[in-house]
Amino acid sequence: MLKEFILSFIATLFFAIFLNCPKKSIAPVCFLAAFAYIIFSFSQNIYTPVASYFISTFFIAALSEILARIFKMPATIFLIPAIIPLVPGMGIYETMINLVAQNFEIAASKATQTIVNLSAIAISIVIVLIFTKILTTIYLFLKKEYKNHMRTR
Amino acid sequence: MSISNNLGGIMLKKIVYTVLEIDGDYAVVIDQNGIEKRIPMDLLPLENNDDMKIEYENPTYQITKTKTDHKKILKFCSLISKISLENGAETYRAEDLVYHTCRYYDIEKVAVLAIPTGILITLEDEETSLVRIQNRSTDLYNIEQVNSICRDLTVGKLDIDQALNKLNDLTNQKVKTLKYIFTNGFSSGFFALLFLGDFKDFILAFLCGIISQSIFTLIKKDSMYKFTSSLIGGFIVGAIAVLYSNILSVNIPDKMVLGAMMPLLPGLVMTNAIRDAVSGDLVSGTARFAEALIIALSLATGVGMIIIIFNNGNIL
Repeated sequence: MLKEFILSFIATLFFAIFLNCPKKSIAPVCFLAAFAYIIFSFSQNIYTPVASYFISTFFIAALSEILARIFKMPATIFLIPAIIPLVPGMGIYETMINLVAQNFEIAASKATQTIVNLSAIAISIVIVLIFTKILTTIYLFLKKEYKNHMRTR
Repeated sequence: MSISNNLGGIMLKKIVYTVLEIDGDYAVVIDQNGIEKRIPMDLLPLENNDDMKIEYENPTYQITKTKTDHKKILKFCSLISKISLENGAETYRAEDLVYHTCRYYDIEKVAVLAIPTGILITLEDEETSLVRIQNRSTDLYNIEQVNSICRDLTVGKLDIDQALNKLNDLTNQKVKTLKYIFTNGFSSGFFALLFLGDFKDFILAFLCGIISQSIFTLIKKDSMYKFTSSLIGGFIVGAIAVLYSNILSVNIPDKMVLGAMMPLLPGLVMTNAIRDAVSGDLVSGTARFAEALIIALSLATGVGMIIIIFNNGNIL
């Protein structure tokens, strides 16, 4: 557990520097990615892979929207580096290697798994985005009532 | 025509006029109710002809907001949205930046159409600019900077010339090649360790990252950069894996391949595609999905081809 935490932290750290992340946001991004990876590997013992992808991505997406409000930066800055360790590279690799070795049945099942996992990640991001939009609209509405101006971002 | 006669009863109220044009010695102004008036230039505190809003409070006029040239605003808008799209921001963010800027300068009618390959902006049905975007990469620092410049401009911390200078500084940044090479290598290595690889996987993935990134810096200006880079990256990963397994006659080190593939995977493009498609930018969403698919396919082709050719399809 600790080993996974440290390794995903360091890997995300270097990847964030590679993407030229602003210095202020590097530390929160690394912690976010490391905790999400822990949640992912822990929930894999309980739930199916699809559910664990969904849960851990939900964690990342929700927290990156919150961090974006705190640090006054776009949410993408937190979302993109933190989500990288969760991309199902293993599925893509296994699909490809089985295609090369002409094991088409295994390749097809691996490809289906990968696509389902990727869609779990996608749907999780979408749900967080919709929630954020609803909450932002409510917030703006209230603010317009009280202070009569609606420019926030 | 004298002003005091015209304004008789509402003398004590504060009135905001917008200057429409300067006609000889008179300024043609319009008030909130849409009534046009002509005011002699002698009474107005206009230093140049660019001042847009004046405030009349008995008995003096004051400038409240300075008019900025539409051309300059358009230049700023096209540059800011271009930089944000080139560095991997979502499409709706690029459009929002333009809308925020134009709202600050009281431009009522703005139309922005941003897609991953270009931006079209029209202000007040008069001035239009079309910007083509050739190179798309990911640079989160630039996205953050562009956002904060726009925010500073719209709260009045910067004027438009300073903001334009800052944007130009962003485009003329020095590229730190060595930093990219080594961070790519280390992140590949640690990803290999994260997926339960051992020390030899770390070393091999590190090598892959360094070699592929140093080749990418050579071809970075190419317009087909994304696809060629993932193809070449896949080739290098496959070549090193096959070389290692043939020399030591062991299995292909799959953890190392996985780790080295991680930075090349289109995770960023996918994330933006989802966010774009949900926000209603259907063209950008589908375009980015296609981009992600092509990148993943060319990466898989790169790795797979090498294994087919040199290992004869044997994974063992």
